[in-house]
Amino acid sequence: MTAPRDAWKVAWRGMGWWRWLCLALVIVAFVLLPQEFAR
Amino acid sequence: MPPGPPSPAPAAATPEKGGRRVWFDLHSWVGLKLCVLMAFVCFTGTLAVFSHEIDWALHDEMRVSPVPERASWGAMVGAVQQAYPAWTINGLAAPKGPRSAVMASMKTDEGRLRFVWVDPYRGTVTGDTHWFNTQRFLRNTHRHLMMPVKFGVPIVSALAIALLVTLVTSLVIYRHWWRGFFSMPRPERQRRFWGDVHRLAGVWSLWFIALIAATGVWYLVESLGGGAGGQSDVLAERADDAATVQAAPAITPAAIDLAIANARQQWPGLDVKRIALSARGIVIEGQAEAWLVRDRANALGFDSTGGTVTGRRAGTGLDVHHRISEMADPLHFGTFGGLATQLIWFVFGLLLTALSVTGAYLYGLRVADAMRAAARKAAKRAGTRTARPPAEHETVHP
Repeated sequence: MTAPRDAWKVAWRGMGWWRWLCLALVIVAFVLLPQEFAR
Repeated sequence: MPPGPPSPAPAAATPEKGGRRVWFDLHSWVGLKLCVLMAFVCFTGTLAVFSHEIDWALHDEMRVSPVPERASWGAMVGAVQQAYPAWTINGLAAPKGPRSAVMASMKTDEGRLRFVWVDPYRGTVTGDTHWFNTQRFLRNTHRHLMMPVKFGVPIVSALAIALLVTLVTSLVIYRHWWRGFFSMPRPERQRRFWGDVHRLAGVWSLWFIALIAATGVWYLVESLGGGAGGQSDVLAERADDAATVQAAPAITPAAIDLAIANARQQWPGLDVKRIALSARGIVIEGQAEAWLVRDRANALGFDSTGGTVTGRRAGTGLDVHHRISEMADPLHFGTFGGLATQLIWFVFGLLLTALSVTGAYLYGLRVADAMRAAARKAAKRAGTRTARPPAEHETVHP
């Protein structure tokens, strides 16, 4: 039986470069947070 | 959604099954590649359904205890002006519930935005809070990832296309999906169990996915220039518009009460939700006869004395383009039916987030199983148990 951790690893690898693009967009939201807060 | 108990995933044998394989691969590809962003946007949107309630719980200033009497809108504006004489009032918003305070949007003397809260029963100021609250955090994160709106909104709303693709493909690959509403997850194997969970959540969420995808596509169209444009102005033109902000305090509490009295007389069905103040006059907005519209769809404009009506805008008189624009927010946010619809939107928002996560997990289980099976086969062929497991790209589709 596949361990959940292995399944997640395979899924993560399967996302290819898209995972970095998606992750970068999510991180951008938090990087820009102080700028929004200062308005 | 991959196919469910009534019809398992196709094995690309017959042309019919091979056709479904393509739809399955498309569903899987779109869902997996965008899983991280999709889950994040869905989750922030889900929390945003109750963002006001979260703020209400976090800030003492927003909480009030009801009594039978209510203060007038004019008295509340007077209280705000007295408590913060150097700040400018842009407008007042009605409380969201019987235990919530009225929110006054203010600009400080340094030009910063703040919210001042007023007890609607006693007409007293309860305090002020930062403009950037939970509601603003969740809205800006969900709507445009805190990026400039012109970039952020198209990026986020383009996910609606991915949502539509997964919706349409799921209906093709999940044969007899309408029989799946009561197919309980089978606990025998984890891949089967999570597949059943994914299908069950998906089949119950079909209407919600369609709704969120449709409104999302509208936001995409709007962000790319296909919006309905502004509402008709209900205030009289004024030559010296540059002085708008400075002249706003000139509107007296008595003028506001007069405007409210006139509005009730001229439009008895108007439930006042917001008052906007400027040097050009007073705008009273709210809900009236039209269903599923934003408060701004119904508006009465008055001059600064509150005695003369300068314009009227009704949600019932909108053209199709403006009607779609007005309907999008109430449908997307789930706020049109109060706490009951908010709760429904929250639960289905969680299901949508879960679909994204379980879909990726299922892919992992499926491919890991296939890799192990291929490794076993290779080991058998080589006559040894220590054969190299094949790389992911070497495996056939399970």
